[in-house]
Order: sequence, then structure tokens, then C-alpha cells
Amino acid sequence: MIREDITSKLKALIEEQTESTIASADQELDIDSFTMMLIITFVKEDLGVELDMNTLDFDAFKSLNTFADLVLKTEALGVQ
Amino acid sequence: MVEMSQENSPTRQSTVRSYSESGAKAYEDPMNKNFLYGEITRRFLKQVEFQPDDKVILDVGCGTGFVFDELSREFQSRGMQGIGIEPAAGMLDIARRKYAADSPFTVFEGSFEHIPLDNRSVDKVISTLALHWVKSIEVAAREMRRVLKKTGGLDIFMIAKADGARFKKAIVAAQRKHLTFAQIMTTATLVQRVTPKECHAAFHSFHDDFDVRVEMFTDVVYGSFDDHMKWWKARSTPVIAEIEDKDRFMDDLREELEKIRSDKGIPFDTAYLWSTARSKKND
Repeated sequence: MIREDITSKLKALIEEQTESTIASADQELDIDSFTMMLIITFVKEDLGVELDMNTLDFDAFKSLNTFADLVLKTEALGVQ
Repeated sequence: MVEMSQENSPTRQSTVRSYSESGAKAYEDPMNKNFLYGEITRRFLKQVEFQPDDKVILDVGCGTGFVFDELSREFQSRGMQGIGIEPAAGMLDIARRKYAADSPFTVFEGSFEHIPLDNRSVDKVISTLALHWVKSIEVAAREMRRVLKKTGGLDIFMIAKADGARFKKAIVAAQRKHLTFAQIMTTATLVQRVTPKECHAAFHSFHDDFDVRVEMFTDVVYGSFDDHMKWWKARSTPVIAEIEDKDRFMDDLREELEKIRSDKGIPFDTAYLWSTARSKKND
């Protein structure tokens, strides 16, 4: 999976949910826990990557890039 | 639109039942009825209009009967029959005790997904602060459409996605000191959070025969920590249930909420959706 593909899809999802604009993949995100859960669901259903809820933390949602890091790492480990 | 899968929200159905049972008495508390949600529900009910032909009115998620209590005189003067549907036994017990056999109100066990009434048997569907508890608004809308007459109407009042944004941030900040990420995510998905556009789309089963409108209303309600806790505790049993040291959590929550206090008090940014469906037919 390509990082840009992950960040662009997440950008669209978060912008729609928060009705805001994300200027860059490093911009600090301001999202609530419900939106976080939507992202987790989206990543599982649309990207085919199931994140481990027991190791996941709020820090992963700091920016599009930090979350993409986690998705790529999880995918590489084959935790799907 | 991404919908939370049932797999990710396994507790919602049972939460509504257990939450409502344990919170049933709290719902009847005057503090809950007269501050924030109770007051706003009254404002909504004052604007609900009935047609001369309306005879059977259905309140889905009727709780302890707040709507019927508030509209009792109107029901009697118009000769309307009120049917309440509620999944929680604790709520049903209170509502059933409240309404005598000769009352125009009857309550049944049921839910948005399973309304125990015949097809096209209802003139109007009302619901207040309940639809956000369902697993799927789309499924709930289909069931309401099934029981509603083609000439009927619908007025649904529910919380919107933006409801309590700053307040909830403070809650999550306090929760982070007591719960795991997974536990917090579970509480975050206990209710549906939708925008007007998403809600309108979820009512697509109505679109052929009804004009559907969804409007959002916002307001800011200020109060002290104790003011807010009286209603918040009554409404948030499942949020608090997982926390072991509840006293310390309340101290942490107070600290977080004090951070957003203004000179008017601690704000709660209310955001509500009022969905209406009006028949396109006059027959």
C-alpha cells in the first residue's frame, strides 16, 4: 500500500466528518473519539488492515502521517 | 458515508437496555427534566404540529413517557391515542404504572428496529432523544416508514454529531487517566453521531412518498460543574460504568471541565437534529 493513498483517503474522510480542511499530512489533527472509531472502521473495511485496539493509542491520530505510519507498519507485520 | 459496523459496536443494544433500566429513575428526576435535554425537548414538542385527522400517534423510544406527559392535554382535546414503544424494562415499568387503563396512552416493549404494530397503522411518528441509540438509522427509518400511513407525518428529535463537542473533549481527557484506548472507543460509539446530510440520506426509504427535511439547531447551555453532573450522570451510566475509581474520575473530570469554563459557567454546546417527513399525498 502506498502512503499517499492512505493519507489522501483519510484526508477525505476526516474533512467530510469534521467539515474542515487539512492543509498537510503533518498538520496536527483535531478529531474526536467517534471520528477515530470511524477511521479505524474505514481502515479495516476499505484498506483491509485491522488495527490492534489493545495497542492503539491517541498518539497515532496526531496527523495523517502518524496514522499512515501505523497502518503501513501493521500491514508489514501482517497483522490483518 | 462510513457506518460503524455492528461488530465495532457490540454493546449498543444491551447498553440501551441496561443503561435505561439503571437510569430510569434518574430520567424522572426533576433536575434531568428541567435542565438542558429536558428543557430542549419541551421546546421541540411545542413546535410539533398535529393534523385534524391524526388519531394514532407513535412515540418510539418513549422512555418513561415524557412526551405523553407533556402533550397529555393536547392528546385528550384532540381525541388522539398515544402508543409508546420502549426496549428498556425499567422505563416501561414506570410508564405502565403511570398510565391507567382509561388513559389514551399505551406502552409496549419494542424498538426502532422492531415496532410491534401493523403496516400503515400510525398517523404520526414522534421520537425525542432516542434515535441516536440505534445501530443503524437507515434500518430504523425503514421500520418507521412501514408503520406510518402514506398520509402520515414524522417528527424526530435527536442529538447531532456536533453535540457537546468541547464538553466531550474534556470527558475524554479525564477518561484517558482511567481507561484504555479500546475502552474509550467503546464508549465513543455508544450513540450515532450524524450530520444533517447523513441523517437525510438515512431516511431514503421515505423519499418517494414524503418530503424529508433535517435541520440542525445549536445553542450553548452554561452551568456549574454540579449542574452539569446532575444530567450528565443520569445520561452517561455506560461511560462511567467501566471506571474503577469513580471518585477520582469525577475529580479529574471537574479539573478538565474547569479548563473550558467562561465567565458564564461551564459550556455545553448543544446541537440537535429535527427531522420531519411530510406526506406528498393528500388522499
